[in-house]
Amino acid sequence: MSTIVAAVATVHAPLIVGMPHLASEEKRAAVDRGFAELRSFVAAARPDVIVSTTSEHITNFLSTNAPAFCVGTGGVNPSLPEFGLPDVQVPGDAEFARGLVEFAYDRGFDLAHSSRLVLDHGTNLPLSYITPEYNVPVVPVMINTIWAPMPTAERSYQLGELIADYVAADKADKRVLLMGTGGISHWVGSQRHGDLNQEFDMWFLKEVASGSGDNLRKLSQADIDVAGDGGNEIRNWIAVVGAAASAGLTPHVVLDETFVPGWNVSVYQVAWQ
Amino acid sequence: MSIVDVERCIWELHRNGPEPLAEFQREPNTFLSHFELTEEERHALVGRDYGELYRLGVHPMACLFYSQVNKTPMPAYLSAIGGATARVKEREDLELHGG
Repeated sequence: MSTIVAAVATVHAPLIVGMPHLASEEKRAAVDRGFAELRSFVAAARPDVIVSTTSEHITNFLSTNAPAFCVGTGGVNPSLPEFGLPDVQVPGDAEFARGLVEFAYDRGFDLAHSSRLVLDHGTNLPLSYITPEYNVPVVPVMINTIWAPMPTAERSYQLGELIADYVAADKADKRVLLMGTGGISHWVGSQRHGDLNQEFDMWFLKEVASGSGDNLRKLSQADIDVAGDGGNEIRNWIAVVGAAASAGLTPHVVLDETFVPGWNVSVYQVAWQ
Repeated sequence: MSIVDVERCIWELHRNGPEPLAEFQREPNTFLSHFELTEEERHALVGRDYGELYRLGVHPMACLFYSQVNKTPMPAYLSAIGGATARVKEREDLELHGG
């Protein structure tokens, strides 16, 4: 039987690597420490595969084709070398990924799948810090956080539960790590670009740290909208909360670095074990 | 259909390797002839008119990406789409002096 051995969640703001100088030295050092702690944490968990509930940014999908959830079934995941991130071919796990989709079908949960999902900063930025050798296969599960209408918070939570059920039923005896990325509140490209909703951020982090998704899964689109268009990415975290709760993991906050104006986000990181 | 063609055009320039961008820079009208665009949209793309693209309803993220393709500084982009003056100034100060 496979096991979810740990989970992490982190923001993936591209300017962390693209324009680091826009944050103070103190903030940069704090974020570096947070990522270093996540890296050690993940290394100690010795995962065989990382399942990442994540976002893409008009990289694979336009409004002409916007699946709610899309599993990357490629043996290799190409990456986009943007913001100075490395141009890497991230190993995938086709068998595990296809198994997830088939398991989901059997449960009446119709996941889209793609044999070629390109990983942009949404996935590659955390990976570049957490597994910089890119030696752990990654199964991306892209959640539509760009093109309205988007899946509900409830369905995102259920996705996490589904992943946990699949791992528990999988006979490959793999050590599975979950990685949620993105958020929390921010606005991208609009007139409010650079705004933040710190009240929402603090509430969200408190809910995630409680280990319970009871309030998170009830969020409506209107509730999420107060966190900006970038706030839609909290679905990726909510899926991890659902999976972690199912797997009996306990969260702890790794980094709580409030507003870094130059990077357009607060930098939050959580780990579960 | 038209707005999605603007977004598809920006995707080509921003996400699909160096060739589309090189063609656009060399022969903008030839490149844009591959897309079903209105004259208004074509004009906004050629003129790097982010404010007009934003007003037309192009996804804000795509508008931002198009400014990145053109190496337009963030304060200029924000100003073009009608960002608050204080925010534009804040970005200018950040880019000039760091965080």
